Amino acid sequence: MEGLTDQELIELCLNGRKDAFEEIVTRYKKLIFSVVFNFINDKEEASDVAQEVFIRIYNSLHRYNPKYKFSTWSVKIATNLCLDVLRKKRISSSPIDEIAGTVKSTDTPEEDCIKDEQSRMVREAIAQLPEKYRVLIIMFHQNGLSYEEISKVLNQPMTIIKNRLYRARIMLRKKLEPYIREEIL
Amino acid sequence: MNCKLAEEYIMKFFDSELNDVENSYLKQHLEICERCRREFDTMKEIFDSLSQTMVVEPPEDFEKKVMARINSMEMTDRRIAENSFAFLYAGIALMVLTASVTVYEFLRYVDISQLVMRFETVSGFMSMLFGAIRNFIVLVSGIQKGLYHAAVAVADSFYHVFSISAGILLIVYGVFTSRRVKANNGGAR
Repeated sequence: MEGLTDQELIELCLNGRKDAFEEIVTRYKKLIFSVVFNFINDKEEASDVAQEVFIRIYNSLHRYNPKYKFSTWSVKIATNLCLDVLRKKRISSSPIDEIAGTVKSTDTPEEDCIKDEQSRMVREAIAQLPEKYRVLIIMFHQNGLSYEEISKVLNQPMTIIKNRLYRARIMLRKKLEPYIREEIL
Repeated sequence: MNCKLAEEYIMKFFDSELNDVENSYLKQHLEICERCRREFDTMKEIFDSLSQTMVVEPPEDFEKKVMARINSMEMTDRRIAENSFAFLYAGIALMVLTASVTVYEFLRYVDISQLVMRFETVSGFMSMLFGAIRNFIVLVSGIQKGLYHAAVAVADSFYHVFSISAGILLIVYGVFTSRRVKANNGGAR
C-alpha cells in the first residue's frame, strides 16, 4: 500500500478495496487535522470533525478529479465542513458571544502545541476577531488557500474577500501592536 | 510614494503579489517613513508566527476510528436496503388490501345484476350508461349527505383491518429480516 500513488489508492477504493483508504487517511491526517484545528481550537472536537472530513472524502471519492491535487481538494472539503460547524455553533450560541467573539479564552489552543508566547498571543487575537474576518485569516494565512479557492468555498466575489481580508489584517495589527512592539524593542 | 500607496503595497506583499518594481518602491518608503515601517513590521511578525508550523498531532488511533465509522456506515446501509424491501412488500400488501376493501364497499352501492341485464342492446347499453351516471351522481350526493357517518363506519372497519394486518406483516418481516441479517453477519466474518 505504501508504494502506491494517491491516484492508485483511490482507484483501489473505488473498486471496493476499503483498506486502501486507510493508507490515504494515514498520509493526510496531519494536514487535515491541522486545517481543522486552525478553525476549531479544541483537540477532541477537532479530532471528531477531522474524522468526519475523511468520511466525506470517502463518500465523494467518485467525484475527485485527478487534474487537481488531492491535498487541495481535501482541504476544501475540510474547510467547508469547518465552516458548517462554526455556522451551527453560531446559530445555537447567544448573540452576546457573537459580539465578543465566538471563542472563549478556555477554547484557545492547548499550551503544549504553542511554540512561544507570541504565537499564543497571535492565535488568541485571531480567535477574538469577528467570525467573518477570522475565517478569512485562517483560510488564507494558516491553511494556505488562494483567493480564488476562498471565493469558491464562500461563494463570494474575490474583490469582497480581498477587502475583507485587508480589513482583518488591519484589525489584527491594531490589536497586537502594543504587544508586538514590546517584543521588537 | 505616499503612505496610502505604501499601505496598498504592504497588503500586496502579504498576498505575495508584489512585483520587483513595487517591492523596491515599498522598501524605499519604509526606510524613510517610520509609521509605515512600524505597521509593516508588526504585520510581518504576526504572519511569520502564523506560518510557523504548529506541532499538532492527531490522536494515535485516528485511522482506526475513521475505518470503524466507515465500516459501521456500510453495515447500516445494508440493513436499510434489506429493510426497505420488507417495507415495500408491506406497503404493497396494504395497498392491495385497501383497494380490495374499497372495491367491496363500492360494489355494495352498485347492483351488478341490473348492469348485466341492461347490457343486451345498444339502447339498453346507453340507458344503462345514463342510469349508471345518474346512479353515480345519486351515489356521490348520497355520500356527501351521509359522508360523516359513512366515513366513520368505513374508518372503523378499515382501522381494525389495517392495524391487524400491519401488525402481522411487521412481525413476519421482523422475524424474516433479523434472520437474514444474522446470516449476513456470519458471512461477513
